[in-house]
Amino acid sequence: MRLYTYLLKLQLLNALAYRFEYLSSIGRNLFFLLGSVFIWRTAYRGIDQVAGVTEAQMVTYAVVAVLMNACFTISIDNVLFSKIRAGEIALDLIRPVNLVWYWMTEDVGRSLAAVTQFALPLLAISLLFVAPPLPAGIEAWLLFLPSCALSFLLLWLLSILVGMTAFWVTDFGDVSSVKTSLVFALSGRLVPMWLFPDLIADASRWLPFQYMFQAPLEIYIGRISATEVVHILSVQAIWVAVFALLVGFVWTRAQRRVFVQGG
Amino acid sequence: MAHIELEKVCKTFHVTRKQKGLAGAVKGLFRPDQREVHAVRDVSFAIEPGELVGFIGPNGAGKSTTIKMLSGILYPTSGRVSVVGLSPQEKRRAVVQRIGAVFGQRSQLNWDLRLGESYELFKRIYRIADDDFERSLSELCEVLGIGDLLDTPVRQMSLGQRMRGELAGAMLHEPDILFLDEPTIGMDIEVKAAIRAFIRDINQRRNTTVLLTTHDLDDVEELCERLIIINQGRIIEDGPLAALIDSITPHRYLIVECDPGTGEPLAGFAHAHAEILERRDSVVRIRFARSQVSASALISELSARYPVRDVSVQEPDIEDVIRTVYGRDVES
Amino acid sequence: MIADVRHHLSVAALYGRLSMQRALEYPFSLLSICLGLGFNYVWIGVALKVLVDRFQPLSGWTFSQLAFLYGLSLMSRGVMSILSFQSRQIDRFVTRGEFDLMLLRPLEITFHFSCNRINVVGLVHLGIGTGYFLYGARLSGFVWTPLHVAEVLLVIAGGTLIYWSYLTLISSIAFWTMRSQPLVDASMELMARGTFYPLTVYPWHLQALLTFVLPLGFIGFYPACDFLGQSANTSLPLDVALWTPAVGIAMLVLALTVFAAGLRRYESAGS
Repeated sequence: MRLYTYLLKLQLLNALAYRFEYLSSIGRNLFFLLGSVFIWRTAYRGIDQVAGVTEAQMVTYAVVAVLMNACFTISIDNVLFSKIRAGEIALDLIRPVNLVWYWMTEDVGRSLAAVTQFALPLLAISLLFVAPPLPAGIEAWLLFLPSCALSFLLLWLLSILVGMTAFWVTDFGDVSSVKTSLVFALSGRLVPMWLFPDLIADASRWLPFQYMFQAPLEIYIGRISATEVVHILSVQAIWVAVFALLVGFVWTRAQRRVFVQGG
Repeated sequence: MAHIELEKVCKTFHVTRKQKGLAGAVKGLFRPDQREVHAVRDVSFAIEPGELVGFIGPNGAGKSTTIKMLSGILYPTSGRVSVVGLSPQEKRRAVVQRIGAVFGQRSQLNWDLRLGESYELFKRIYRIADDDFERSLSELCEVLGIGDLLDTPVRQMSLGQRMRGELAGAMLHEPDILFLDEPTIGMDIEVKAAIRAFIRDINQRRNTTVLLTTHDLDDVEELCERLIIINQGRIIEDGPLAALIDSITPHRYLIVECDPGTGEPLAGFAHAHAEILERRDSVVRIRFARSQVSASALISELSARYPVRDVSVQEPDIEDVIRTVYGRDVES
Repeated sequence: MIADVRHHLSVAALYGRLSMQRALEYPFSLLSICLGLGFNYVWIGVALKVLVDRFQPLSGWTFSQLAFLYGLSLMSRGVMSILSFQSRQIDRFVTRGEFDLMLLRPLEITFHFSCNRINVVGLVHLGIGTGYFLYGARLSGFVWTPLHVAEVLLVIAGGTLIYWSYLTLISSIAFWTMRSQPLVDASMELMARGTFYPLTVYPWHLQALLTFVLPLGFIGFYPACDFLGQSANTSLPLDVALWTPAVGIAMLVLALTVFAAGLRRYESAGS
């Protein structure tokens, strides 16, 4: 356990050291945030609500989506790509730690750092210039948190799964760019899936992506009733379980592959 | 006319020192800790066409900085640099057309392409005529033995193959001057020998001027007639290899083997200009000042007094020279 | 002089060929980047369609008009992307000392630097941009007169120059700070937000910023207004179009000056 707290601290310090990266990253998120907020406001000009969602709710949705995305600093896929390509993975495998947990702790540490680093400044900016992105109620806020945690897990598991493809096809290169694009589009981060034509919206319910962003955000702005929240949380949990099993399965195979073929 | 000329060349860098910890990083934002580093100080030397010069010194002594100034990559802070009679800074394109360079740590070949394609690119860049290119390439392929590698992607080549490829690439446009920055670093013995043979060949056959920096003293011993030693940005020695060894290490060594079983070898030996360095069994190592006493005088003196079985004289090697030179400079 | 230009162009052509060859060395990688990017850019168009269908024309722009604007911007972005692979990474060139090798070649250094690598992936933006543009042009009554075609080409050229110069400017910061990649990434985001939608969705100060300080409005918005007869209707006293090439050239001069100054600094400081 002490190893993992140390790793956490190390990641926090590391992240703080890169001030330049930091300011640029705030800038990037800010541009995205302002872009979405003003587009929603323009879209809502003179319209009360669409699909039961008001302008204020939608702006909150957009702001919190940016905050979540800024906090979800997951780099495991890229870490794996570069480690496998450089042939360092075999060295990691002989270390006496559970690597998957090790990597996860690193990303959790980074993401926790991002809460203070990115979420708070961006929140302050939107308080000043946009609107306070308030949750629908205290209940919504309390339910948002576990849903958000499940979203993080789901995204992380998907990322490591994508990263592990490099064990078999090293030349897959930026296969994570496909993942990023799919998540960007189908998670509802840009435009919530419920606004799309029924065919796309229905299909999306059977895919894991909308449980990575849209699910907690829907809860946050109070678009859905309490019973539906339970339903959403359980679907998220099921997806996490499915992905965890997949990761476990692929990981054992990958390790065996490294030991047999020498990475 | 000298091919390469430096006159009182200085190069000063300003570096910002990173400060420790988070507090230091914050402080560094407002008041950066700036320091002047004198990488090259008052360096002057001239190299004539066709010379093969070893340019040596410890890490950070200013070798790379000097070479970068010679090849037009860096501007000197003060002083005059001239290569083939031109300033590499003002006439960069004309100068680099006539020099070739290999930086051991940095590849000029295109990692993802076949070796021949990188050469094709050099042909275009240096405007090499078709038949010149063919002739130059086949000649280089023969000397370096890389004819079979032209269709191999560079990323699949071994370190030694790649270095030979680099050398050919640097010579394709038949430059007058070749800068070699540690070309043998990390190579195995066979490749080292091939590289040395190549350097000797182009120097003799094409009369190419070669400036070679290296940490490998065998390179120096086998190749260089002249040696320039730089330390802490200053030229501290410049001259023919043999003369340098003579002037810097005035000592020679005498290895004396006595008859075993005759007690301590050379017991009670004392001499004004010689001293015993070590005794091992019946073998004794003596250091003597060559200018004060000749080896033959010393040998006859010894064999008159002691049961000497065998004697050999040991010349100091370049390593002694360099150790002495670096050490001297640190002390001063 | 002419021989010199021809020499440079022949080197550039060879670099272009080698870049493509190199990209094809890693077909999977190329494919996944193209798929990822392609999906991304197609999806932004789809999202705009959904927005217009479920809400209302965006700031008075119908979907076909939005597609026209988006396509126009994306085409410039594509050409920029093809040509700016290097200038976006001055950061890496400075920290790894890669300008050293370039300075060793008997070529004009800025030119050599820019043509050194061509980014094949930019064809994806270019293709999708062209698709949206043609679709938007057809449905929003754009008339294909020879003059209009020439104007569109000029706008794309000017837009490319604005994009390229802006990125080169930002990236050149690395000559002084060693680090500029994150800032370049942030700028790419700003460019997307500033060129894909009508400027009128933003409040007046952001419009002013994107017109006078970072003239991204000239890449797509102002020309599109002119072509489609959409009143720019910005809160600014400005009714311009086809200023794009002029703005582009001004930006280019600025970018090249800063780049040259940075390179001079590199030559005096090394890496």
